[in-house]
Amino acid sequence: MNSHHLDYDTLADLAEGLLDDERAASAGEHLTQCPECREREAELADVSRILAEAPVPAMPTGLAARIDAALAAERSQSTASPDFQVAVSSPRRLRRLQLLSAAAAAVVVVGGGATVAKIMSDSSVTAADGKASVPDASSPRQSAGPRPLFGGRAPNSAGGLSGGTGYRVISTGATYRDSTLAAQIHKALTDQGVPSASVPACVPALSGGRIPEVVDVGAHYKGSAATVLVFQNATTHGYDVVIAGPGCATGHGDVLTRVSEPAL
Amino acid sequence: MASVSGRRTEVVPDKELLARHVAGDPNAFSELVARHRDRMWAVALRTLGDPEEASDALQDAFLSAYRAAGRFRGDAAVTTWLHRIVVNACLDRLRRRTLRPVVSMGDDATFDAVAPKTADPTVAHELSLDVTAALQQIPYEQRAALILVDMMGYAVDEAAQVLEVPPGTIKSRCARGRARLLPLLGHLRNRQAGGNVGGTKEGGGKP
Repeated sequence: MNSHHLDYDTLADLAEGLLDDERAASAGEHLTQCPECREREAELADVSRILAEAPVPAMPTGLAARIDAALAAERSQSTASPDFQVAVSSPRRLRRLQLLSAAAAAVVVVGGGATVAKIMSDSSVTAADGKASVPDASSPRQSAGPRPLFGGRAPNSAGGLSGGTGYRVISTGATYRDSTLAAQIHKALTDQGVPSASVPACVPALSGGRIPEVVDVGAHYKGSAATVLVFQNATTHGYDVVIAGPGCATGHGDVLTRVSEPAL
Repeated sequence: MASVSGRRTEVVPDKELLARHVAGDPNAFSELVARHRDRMWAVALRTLGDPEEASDALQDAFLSAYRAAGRFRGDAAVTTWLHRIVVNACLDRLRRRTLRPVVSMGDDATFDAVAPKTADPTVAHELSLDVTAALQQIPYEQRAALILVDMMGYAVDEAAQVLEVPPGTIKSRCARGRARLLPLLGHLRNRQAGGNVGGTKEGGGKP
């Protein structure tokens, strides 16, 4: 091993502590004997240094004013569109969500000829940390009227739970392909597929606080079992699609791909 | 999680400003924007490589943050939260770009647009453009990790929180990204080898 020079990937992994003990020891030993690889190591360190020292480019003239104007316009509107939610996930919050998900009741709703399962959040559920607070579960398509800008929410509140909202979980068994994704998303959105009562554990990690329109837990993508999350994009009125791999089951993101589809 | 904001000397903490905004203070959010827009701009421009798109993404991001402020949870730094919103706004634009490809960046018009309108290009200025252009050559995930960790000085755990992936993933993306960037930045390294006086930090320095 020592006779081989170390490539940049190996050296970069070594620097980040990503090599296993054996490979790290071997690489370290090689470095003590090989000036060429030490030079490569220094080159890699320079990449970080060059990045750190790159001057921050100035904002274009007028951009600050433009943003201020956009915010002023937003302020002058009496209602806010509650359709863009961004939340910061913390391990604590994720645990809370998972507890809630585990306790959530699966309710079968029959409508329009299609049977769908809805994961209903139950506001009576109290999580282990003693708080009943869970992330705001109101969904854009279910908020009927305009809401006051900051509808009585206390600052930094964890978000009151609006009971009775949720998202559809289906299991289609379909293999999603990039080339046919738009049609497949359309299919998933229009209630085709077998309703599933399973709780996709990665939704909290992947939703960024948004409520998916539909989640397909029985999907396949590029040879791997997959969970497909479809979000409405409030800006484009199209759909943001996140496809997660098997790691979804453990609550990790495990994102295989993210795609945006234009409005159907 | 500690804030990485370099401006902790401000009297009112970010979280307090956000709370005031939610409570209806019409000036609080503007103060937050003024405080952080330069850093957010840097993230957006480096992520997208195109000043026009970065401007749009930044505006989108601040509007989103304005609307979502009531749902901010105090368990992360406001800067972490804002960075995530900016990163997501950029990602939205990148996704749209893959659906409707735009002319590749790195052309002279792009460079002109980022260029300061005043003085002659300086070495530092060229460096910035070269780095921004080089970043566009590597995959988005690696670029985003490197922007946060190496350029913005975020700790790996903080970058992991912003990008919603495990810390090990951030490390691996940074490592792979650096290895890919190396040949693209080699000329800068050589140029700097002689006359780099301004450099104070080795590796991913804190802001």
